[in-house]
Amino acid sequence: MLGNSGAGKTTYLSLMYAEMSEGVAGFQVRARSDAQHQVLMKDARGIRTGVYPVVTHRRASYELALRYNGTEVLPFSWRDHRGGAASGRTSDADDVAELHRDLLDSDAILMFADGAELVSSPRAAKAFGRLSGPVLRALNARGQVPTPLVIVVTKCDLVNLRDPKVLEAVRAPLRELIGAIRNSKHIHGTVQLVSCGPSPSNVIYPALWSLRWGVLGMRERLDLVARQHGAAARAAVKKNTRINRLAARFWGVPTNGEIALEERLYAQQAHQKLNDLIPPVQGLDKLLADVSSF
Amino acid sequence: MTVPDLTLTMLGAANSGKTTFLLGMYDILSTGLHGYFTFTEDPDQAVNLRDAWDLLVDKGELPLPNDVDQSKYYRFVFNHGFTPLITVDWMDYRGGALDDHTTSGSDVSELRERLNRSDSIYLILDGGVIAKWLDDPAKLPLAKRRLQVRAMTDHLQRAMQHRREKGLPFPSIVVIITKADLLRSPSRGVGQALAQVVDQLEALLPVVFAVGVTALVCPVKVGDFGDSGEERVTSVDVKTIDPVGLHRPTIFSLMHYLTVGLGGRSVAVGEAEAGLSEVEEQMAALNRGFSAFLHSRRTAQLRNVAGAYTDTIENEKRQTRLDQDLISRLSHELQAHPIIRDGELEL
Repeated sequence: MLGNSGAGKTTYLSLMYAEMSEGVAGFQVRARSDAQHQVLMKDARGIRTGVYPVVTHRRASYELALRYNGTEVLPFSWRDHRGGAASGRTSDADDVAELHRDLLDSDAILMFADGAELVSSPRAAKAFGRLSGPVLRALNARGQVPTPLVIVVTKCDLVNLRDPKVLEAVRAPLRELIGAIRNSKHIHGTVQLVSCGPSPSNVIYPALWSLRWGVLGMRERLDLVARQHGAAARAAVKKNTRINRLAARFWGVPTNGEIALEERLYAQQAHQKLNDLIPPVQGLDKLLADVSSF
Repeated sequence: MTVPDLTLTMLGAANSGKTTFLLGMYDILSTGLHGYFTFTEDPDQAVNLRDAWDLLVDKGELPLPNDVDQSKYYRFVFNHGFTPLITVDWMDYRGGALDDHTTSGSDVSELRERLNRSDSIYLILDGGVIAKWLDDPAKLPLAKRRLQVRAMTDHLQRAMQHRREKGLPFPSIVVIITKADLLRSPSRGVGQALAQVVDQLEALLPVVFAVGVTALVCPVKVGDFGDSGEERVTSVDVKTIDPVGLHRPTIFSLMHYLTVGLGGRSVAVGEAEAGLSEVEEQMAALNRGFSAFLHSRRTAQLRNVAGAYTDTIENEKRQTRLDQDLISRLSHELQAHPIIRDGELEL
């Protein structure tokens, strides 16, 4: 998560967590540590009564997990960076360099823009545009790694998005970045308009949309593992000759027949995990069917 | 994909607006313009450039001149969307250094070495000085002196001579007329003034009309700050800030670099095609007659060589198409800007 100071990153995280921890269509997000769960829930309760969390002074990392119908699907780390980290010098504070490092390693990036400020202040629009720099720098260094990128526009309850002028004021600063994402083959994007006040709205979608890419990535990796073990099993079967069995006994190593069995077992395990992913993937697809992405 | 690296050097007299141009260029391209983005390789340099630009936009404070022996270096990455197109090694040569009286020997030798390997050179001309010359053509010698034309020309010619001896193409030149708002007068608009400048540029800067040189003439402005004469201005009215054209010089540098590269690709394709043709002839000769089966090993070897040539041809042609597409896209940004090629004006 990166964004300028006051964009509402920490507030968003708390509200998203609170809503997701209650469960949405079988999905749930839970903190691995009870202490982090308590902090996020307390902040969310405060926000619902109009008390917002204090400004993040340093990078906070939350160890969370996505669960579906009670079973863990995807563990993930959520990094909440101090607002000033995106615009600071690496020589001024450690967390600036941490942000640059996190951008290099992240499986998903959420960029936050304060919707109310975009409408009222050209400076805010410029400040959001400048967030492109660190993101482009990191994504260039990563090469063609598929990366989901969510532009989260917060405080949408404070602006009248039905007014075409207001809507244009929100859209204009995002246009160049959206165009770049649209033209990219490896960056997948979505824009999510959220409200993070006492009556939150849309807060689950930025997180779930990013997590869906995480689950799809896991499915691809498992599929690859299953195919590799399957191929290894087939190759071992072909070499399972009498001579091989005799030589293996002599040298005290597994025969190709035994290797084939083991590889087949690994392949089956990977297939089982793949099958386990089908319901959550279908569930996420259904939940996010109306979310437009590019 | 390997991203080409372009060396760019910016020359101009003190107070000609080089650093302000750089700050404005970066501010515009760092947030994206028409799909193009720029960022610094070093994130801290981006913060320095942003802070200096914000000081101008918020408080009207112009950047301080680069100190003695303090030319500045930047490394920019120039992207189209998320696709890196080029990295730019940029030198902002301190203005005072063009004046022989204040320049150390090491300073000059560093500049010469730098210019010898520059792919693009920006000559920064103060629009205020140009306007006075347009108002009174007799002031040409004065304008040349104030713009440090002789020093710039000497450096440029030396670099061109070096590249000619090495068989290298000349660098692209961008004649950047800063403070373009000052070109306007009660009797002429900026467009008319630019036409006049281009018309008479050969008298001011004959070096850009040399055979082998491709130059863009590009007026730019950061705002409508008015004329301060010879006095160095340190602050401006923030309400008058209105940047125009600051991204175009970089677009031109990239376009020219790619265009020169096309020539190299064409040569590579020609050589590979000649090689392929030769190998095919050898294979045909070996396969002729009853003894063909005796040459099967040699034929297989030649088939591999032919395959390598074919791959080279396909790769070069594919990259040529990509470069041509990009050149075509970039050229849209420069429509109606005068380009001087081999001494001839193109519009």
